[in-house]
Amino acid sequence: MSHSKTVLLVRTHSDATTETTYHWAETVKQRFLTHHWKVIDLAKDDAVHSQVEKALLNLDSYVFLFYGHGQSDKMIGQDGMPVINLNNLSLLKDQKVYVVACLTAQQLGFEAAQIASFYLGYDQEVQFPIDPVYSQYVEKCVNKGILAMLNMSECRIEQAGQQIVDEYTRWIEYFTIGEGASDTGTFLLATQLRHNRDALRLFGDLSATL
Amino acid sequence: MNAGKILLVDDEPEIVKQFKRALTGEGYHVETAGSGEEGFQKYQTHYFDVVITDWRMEKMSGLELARQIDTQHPSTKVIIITAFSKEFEQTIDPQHYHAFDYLKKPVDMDNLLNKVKEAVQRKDGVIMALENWVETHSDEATRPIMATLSQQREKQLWSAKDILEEIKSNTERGKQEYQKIIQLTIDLLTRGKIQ
Repeated sequence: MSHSKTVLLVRTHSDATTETTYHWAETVKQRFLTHHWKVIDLAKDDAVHSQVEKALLNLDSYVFLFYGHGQSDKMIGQDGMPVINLNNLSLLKDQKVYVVACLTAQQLGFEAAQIASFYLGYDQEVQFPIDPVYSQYVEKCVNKGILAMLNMSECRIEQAGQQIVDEYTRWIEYFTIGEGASDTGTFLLATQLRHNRDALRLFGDLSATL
Repeated sequence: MNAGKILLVDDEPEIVKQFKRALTGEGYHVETAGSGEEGFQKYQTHYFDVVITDWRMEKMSGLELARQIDTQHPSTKVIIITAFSKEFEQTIDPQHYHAFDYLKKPVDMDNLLNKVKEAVQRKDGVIMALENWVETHSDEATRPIMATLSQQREKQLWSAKDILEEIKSNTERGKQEYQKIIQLTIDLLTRGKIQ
């Protein structure tokens, strides 16, 4: 089987929050492997600037996935230092960038989209419960787009983005007026889903596929 | 005993003293401010069920204070006190929903206490719902219900109880959370999902 397609997965695991997103990233990793992609997994202590830079400089084309903390101008590595920021943004040239982190679409994503194939991320906080019983619903939403593109080779990033929005809406309704609506607790979960949905941003070539 | 929190804003210390005595006598927790600016400053750091304010004060008037409060908590009840009732009626927009009511000076104390009681009973629905839930789900309410992927703030995990406290303290986080709840409610209402 050819390993012609490569995904670079960067995922940190430094606190309770990233412990959750680390596992979300694992789901995606396994799906890529099932589809016979080559996965470069820069996890935990490898999710640092030097390793990311080395990987990005070594190959021409990647799907770049990041799961971890973010700020408006940076994705933050395991050591608390930026792995990608405005200074090394050129590393994302021609990359298909999919980011599950807070705020990066505010500035970093906007700038990166000038050179990247596309940049999908969030321009506000990404919020979710830690309890796996409930966090699985946020996982379904954040991963929806990349998995949709993986499952359907003709799926464009614009369609994938819409699928994420639809997935959020589906669960918002489930927890407010659907079977999942039970009390104030589930309503608060729905407010987080709505918040994330509205923070989703997509820049670059909307017709790009994986 | 009433547990309502009242913010009393007036630039006349005697009136503040008189009102405060009457309100605390009824069991309300009362904070005072000597100007609209000071009142708004206090409002930004704490949630109040009712704000009682004089209309005419230097710089920020009671009406302006009510407008400012409306941008943060539209359901906070503001009672405006005025010696110029006719002029006030002409000034205030009939659609002005910020003010819960207004009272003419000299204020009849029983009337004031009745208005306050009525206003406290119509407590902010969001806060009431959260308070009820936190009270009846003590275990669940202290578990983290929300985490964020941002390192901008030190705190990354919040329980429902924390969220309630943030809202009641009127912090930036509290304002955001309050707004999220209102936005989702409006979504559901406007799309006919709830009635």
